[in-house]
Amino acid sequence: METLVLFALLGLGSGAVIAAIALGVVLSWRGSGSINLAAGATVMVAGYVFWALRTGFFGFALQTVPAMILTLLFMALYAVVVELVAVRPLRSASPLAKLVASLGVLLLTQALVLLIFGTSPLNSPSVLTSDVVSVFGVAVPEAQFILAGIVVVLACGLAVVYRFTGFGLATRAASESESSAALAGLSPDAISLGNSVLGHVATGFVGVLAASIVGLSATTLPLLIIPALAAALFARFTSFGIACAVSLLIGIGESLLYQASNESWFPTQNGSAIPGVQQMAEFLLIVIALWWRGSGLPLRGDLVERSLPMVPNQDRLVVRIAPVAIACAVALVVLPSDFRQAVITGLVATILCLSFVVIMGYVGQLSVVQLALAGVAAFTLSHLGAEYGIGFPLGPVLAIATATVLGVLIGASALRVRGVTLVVVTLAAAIAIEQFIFANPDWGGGQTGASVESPTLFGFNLGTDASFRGLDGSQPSPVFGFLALVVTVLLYLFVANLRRGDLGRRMLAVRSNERAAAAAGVNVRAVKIQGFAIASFLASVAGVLYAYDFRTVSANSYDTMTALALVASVYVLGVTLGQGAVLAGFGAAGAVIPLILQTWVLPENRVSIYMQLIIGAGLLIQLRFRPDGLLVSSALKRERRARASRAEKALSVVGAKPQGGV
Amino acid sequence: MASPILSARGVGVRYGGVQALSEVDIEVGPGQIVGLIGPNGAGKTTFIDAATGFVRCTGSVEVAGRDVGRMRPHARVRAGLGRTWQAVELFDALTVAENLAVAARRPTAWTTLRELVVNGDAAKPSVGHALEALGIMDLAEAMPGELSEGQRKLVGMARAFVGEPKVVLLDEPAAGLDTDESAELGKQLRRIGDQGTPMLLIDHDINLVFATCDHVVVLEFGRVIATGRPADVRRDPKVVSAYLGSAASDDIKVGEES
Repeated sequence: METLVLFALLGLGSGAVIAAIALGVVLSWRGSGSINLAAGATVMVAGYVFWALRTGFFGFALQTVPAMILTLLFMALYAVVVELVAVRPLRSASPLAKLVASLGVLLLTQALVLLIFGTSPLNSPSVLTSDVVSVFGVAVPEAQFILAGIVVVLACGLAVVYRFTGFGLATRAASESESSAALAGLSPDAISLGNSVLGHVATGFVGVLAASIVGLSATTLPLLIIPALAAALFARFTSFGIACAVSLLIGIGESLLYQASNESWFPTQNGSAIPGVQQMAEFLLIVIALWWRGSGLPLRGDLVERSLPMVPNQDRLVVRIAPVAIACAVALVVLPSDFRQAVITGLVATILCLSFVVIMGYVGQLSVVQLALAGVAAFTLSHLGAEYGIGFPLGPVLAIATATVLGVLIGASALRVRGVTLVVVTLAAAIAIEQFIFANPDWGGGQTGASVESPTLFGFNLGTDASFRGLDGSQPSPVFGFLALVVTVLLYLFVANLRRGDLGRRMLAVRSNERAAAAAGVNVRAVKIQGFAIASFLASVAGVLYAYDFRTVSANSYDTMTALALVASVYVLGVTLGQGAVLAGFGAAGAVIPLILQTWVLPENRVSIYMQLIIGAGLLIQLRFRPDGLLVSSALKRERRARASRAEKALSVVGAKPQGGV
Repeated sequence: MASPILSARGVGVRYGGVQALSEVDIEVGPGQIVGLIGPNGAGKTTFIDAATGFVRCTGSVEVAGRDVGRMRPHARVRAGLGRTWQAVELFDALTVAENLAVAARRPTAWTTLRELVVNGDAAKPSVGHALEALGIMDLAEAMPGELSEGQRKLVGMARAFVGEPKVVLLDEPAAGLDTDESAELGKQLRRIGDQGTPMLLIDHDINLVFATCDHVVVLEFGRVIATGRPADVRRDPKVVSAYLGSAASDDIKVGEES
């Protein structure tokens, strides 16, 4: 009992951090109508800046109070910069674009922090007292209570500000209807900026206080957005009180779960507690929140002028693809082995990126679980082979089917909610899969990874170790490269073709306007499920090919930050276009572009961080100046010409006939 | 009267504490065009939203004798209940022909599987017919963003008609049109109605409604205050006062054509 109380109270600290992030999420939603994925990164930025000021990283060390004041001033400045770069230019953009912008901020700030401060976690000097108080005979650090008290006061303060001040009234008015608020003389820009500064300073303040308790790590802190999103969902992105209370409960629950994992009754594997239960619980919590609160989620009365990127129809596909495919085929034979490997990886990553084209470009939903689904397919393939002796071709078929079904189940849990909330579920699902399945020694690969047999058909080896080798005589074999190339080309044609058919048109109708689509007889839920199924299928195929490519499956290849960077790079290049997926695929980790950079330009161990920096910055620039995506703009111009000529032809046919009565 | 195509009985809608509609009965018979008019905020659009399933309501809604009151919106459309939107709401990423093609399809699980590999052409015969009926064949390849407001309205109507609905609910099709365009639209609607598609017409253009409709229902504060033939309704003192306020009702006649 005493330990139970102790661990419950020890959860208050991390609960407070989650609460601070959740408050930031609520403020962003109410102020600018975006789901701010970078709210967790705010804690990271504040924590690192304070650490640097306090420990003399910049050449001078400050006392706690001045360091804190400077940090908070910096956070206000940071809020203004984020607002000017990633929020204000997108005021009238679609919710998806706003969401993607916050993803850009997340990638950019994390990459900057990693480059400046390094990748290993730091010990932050503690700010709060290290005294302990005795509760029911248990010694608990006072700081836990102080932190919890501070976020409760913050939440109450925000609630009071929103209820009783002119600023709060203006924000509430603007989130009801931005256009009428503007007509009433309120500036949505100023309101949004105010909320943004408020959110960043408050979150940063709690982040600094808690850094010594929760630890300072650029890889874990940004992901605290997931429990915070769960809390924000329970609060319908509106109530500060509920967001704060649920966050504290999540913190307590996590701490109790941690304590329980040391108990004898806790399920174990190979003598140690099964991993990832906490992430699984967070995912389930989000699903519960969506089902319970989902249908009542308020829609902000935004003024959406600019819609999503246009979706050009692609004609003469074969003519376009053939040169690229032939170039790849030649490269797979003549290039040195590391480049051949990079080409294969690029091809497989292209398939993965095509899944983003379908779900983001066509259906208009942001899903980030695909890389995790690829991992599920890969691990399933490995286990089918190792434990049941099921190899090629039945093994990959079963693996792809398993991962696709899992993907559909995950997507189905977001159906009750309109808008772009799929991202919340898929983000939590990706982390849960990573920690609960991949890290599990039996289901996933544990720490070592799981091996995969090469595919063989009628005794002919199709894998990377096939006897036919490239010009330099080493692996990987071009045979597997050709296999990947054929699959990639077929799936590219499939995705491009989808756009031209009835199913693709229904997806685009849902993307444009869910209500109008329903009024045109389109089953919106069915279309979303179909889109998600196709995206999951594509991701699973990529997963199987990855497994054959590396012949071993390890959890590291499928982590969530990699997935987010991939999503962002597809969006930068053109999320509605297959070519965007191809370029993004060849820019993915391990593919050709990073290989070129690390061979001739960048330090090898930091290539992925620099790539993340480039992608994050590129995303913000693209959203500002080329909202359709870099490749889409030019494709649109071509299509407009084609349509004009088609219309002319149609008119001349009509004109030639004598006009009959209608 | 022959059995009605659309029959809504006792329809009521509450928004929080506000009773937006109460006990509204509206019937549309075969070949009929029924007008639904009333001052701003009377609940006209709310009635369409309720009948088509976008707003939860009490009461019953039947299409050709079939109860659709429990169906989701898309299922009601497939049961024959078409509608247009006040703000038109075209699919902005699709051409006009593609907008109509979406509404022309009634996919099943099997056809959806087929669509994964086989392209359905946007230029379906029904799409051509709908465009022709509204006289906008030349817009087939245009994008919604390139259209004028009047053209958008016509495309929105064509999209509602292309699915061959049993009855169509039109939400302010003439808003934004000038007098001549509005009169022309009235004739087109009459023609389509005479070919067998009954309609419920909401509009602020009283002249359009009275000239086009066989029957008119007047709403005020969510209740039906008058119903009958256009000639009778326009003389009804309750209607006159609802539109112009009670003081004015003695000396001005509503909608009198010059």
